[in-house]
Amino acid sequence: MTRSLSALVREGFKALLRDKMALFFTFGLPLGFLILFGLMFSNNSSTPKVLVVGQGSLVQVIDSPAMKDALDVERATDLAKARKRVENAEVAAVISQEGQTLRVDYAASETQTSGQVLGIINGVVSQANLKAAGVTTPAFRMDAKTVEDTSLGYIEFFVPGLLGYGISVGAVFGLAIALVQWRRSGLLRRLQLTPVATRDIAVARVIVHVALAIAQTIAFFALGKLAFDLKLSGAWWMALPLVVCGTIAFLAIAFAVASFAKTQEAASGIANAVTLPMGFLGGAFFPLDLAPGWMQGISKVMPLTYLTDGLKDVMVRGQGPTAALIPMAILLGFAVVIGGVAVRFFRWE
Amino acid sequence: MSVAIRTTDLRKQYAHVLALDGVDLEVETGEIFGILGPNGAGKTTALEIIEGLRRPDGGEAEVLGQRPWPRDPALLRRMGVQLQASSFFEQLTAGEQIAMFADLFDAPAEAAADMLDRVGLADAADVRTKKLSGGQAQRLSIGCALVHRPELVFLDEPTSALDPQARRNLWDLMREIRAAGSTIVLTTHSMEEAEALCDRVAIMDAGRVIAVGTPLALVRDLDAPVRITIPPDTMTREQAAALPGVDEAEETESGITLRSADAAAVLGALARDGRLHGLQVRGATLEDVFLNLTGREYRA
Repeated sequence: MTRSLSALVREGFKALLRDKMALFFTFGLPLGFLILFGLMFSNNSSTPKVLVVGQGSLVQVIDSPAMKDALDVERATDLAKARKRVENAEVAAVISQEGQTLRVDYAASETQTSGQVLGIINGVVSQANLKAAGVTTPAFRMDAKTVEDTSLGYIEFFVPGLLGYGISVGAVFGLAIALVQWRRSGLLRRLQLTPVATRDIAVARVIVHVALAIAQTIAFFALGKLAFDLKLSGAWWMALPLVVCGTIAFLAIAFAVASFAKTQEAASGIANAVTLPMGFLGGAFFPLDLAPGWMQGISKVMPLTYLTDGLKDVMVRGQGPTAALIPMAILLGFAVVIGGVAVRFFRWE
Repeated sequence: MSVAIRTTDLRKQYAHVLALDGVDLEVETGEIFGILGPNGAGKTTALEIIEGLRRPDGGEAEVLGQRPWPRDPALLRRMGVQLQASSFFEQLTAGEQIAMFADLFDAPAEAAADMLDRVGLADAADVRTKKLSGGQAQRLSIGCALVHRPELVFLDEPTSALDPQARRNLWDLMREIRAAGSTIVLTTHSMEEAEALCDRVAIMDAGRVIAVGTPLALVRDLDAPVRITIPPDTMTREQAAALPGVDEAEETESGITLRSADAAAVLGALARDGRLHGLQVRGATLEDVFLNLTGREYRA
């Protein structure tokens, strides 16, 4: 590494660490999203909460330790008050027994949890009926299994998604605003009057931003593991080369933004207009599987889509290292095309 | 004397403006050369071509024996350019900034601290550049241009934001650099600076060089009358007008102002009458030359 290149790299790191706004947008904001989303959905996980009121043989079964994995059961005494809590959506259902009838009060608006509770309770009633009829070995059985890793939950979706988003924001904002500021202050011209090769200026920025993206990746893995019990499966270490390729694609976008924006305000506006839709349509905040076809079509022209998809494949969907290769190639392809266009329009002053 | 810069018939046309209309300049090695001219005269364009930032439409530039276009890192290493005082790495301190330029030019590391001290910023070494005052930032930008001891230095209005002390210290620094054998080209709007510092000046207007020479020779060639101001109540205007050598006498707030092409005769007569007390004598200055050549209308 030449002396001027290492000086430019050191400057890049210093500038980043001293810029509170940049630190917030590259670390604070995406990690904050992860904490927010992680907490928001952690309550909503697999076991719905129900209240049981009164006694009865079926109530006893529901309130037994054997049901712990399926339902979060709490005892209540006042039926009317318990129903009020269902209306307020604090609990999924109230269960009480009158003679041979098990009564379930649930909120129709909470379709997903209600369906889950009704299914479980229906199972309990069927079992009891079989027992009452003297059947010990049922004629039919159902064996249901999910196709993903059995523990794939919200956090396993959010860590790769928000990591990809954080990297896009860090690279696009960081480089675009720096370049516009360098141009406006005359520093780009000043650098042209030094013997430094243009290539060194570009390489220094790539080194700085790739290192930054790796730091973001480590922070996301650490927070996911320590705070939310992130379960990694597959060739998760392939996340690193994926992140490097993604960063290069986003730096090309940043370069394009800086080529068209004249002021820092314009640069940050355009950067927002690029990263936000990319976050929503690129699978960072929610899965696109249920989105209409045209929306999925738009997502195909966004590099973030390939980064988040590749990250999910190798981090949580149990895929092997080769699953990352195609997304990596696509990301580098984006970098070449977008960077090539930007070079034609870039101005030094 | 060898030649540091030579341009022949430089031409540059922007969309609607003819910026350079055939500029011939020759700067000798080891001199301080000033380029004067009203705004829009073409000074900046001429310098940008000489520095290698722009390609002329016509004509040729030769700098330290090389062609400045296309960009030549080996030539740039021998040059130092000061741009506006804002062209900094925003997040670095003054000390880091100058060290950065030492790195970019591969200059000795200790040169950075020396130069920081030389431009009077040793105490501000740890101050972020965006927190520096206008004068400090300007001194830092000069330090950054000089840190690698260039053979040829370009300064753009180097002392415009400086107080009189800093301005004189920087003039001393420039004279030292000249004494060490370097060549300095500067633009300025300060005729005082040009007279005090420059060995030769070129006056540009409308994309051409309209005068070149030492400040003294330019003033002498102007052949302007000397102005002598006599304090009020010393004599009447008629008496003053009758003194030998006086071409014109005029009553002003500060007394009576005489214009004379033969100041010796006027002053001799006043001395014989014992009326030298409170007298002000003002000869023509470079500013008179400048205004005489470029006129008094507002420019771009």
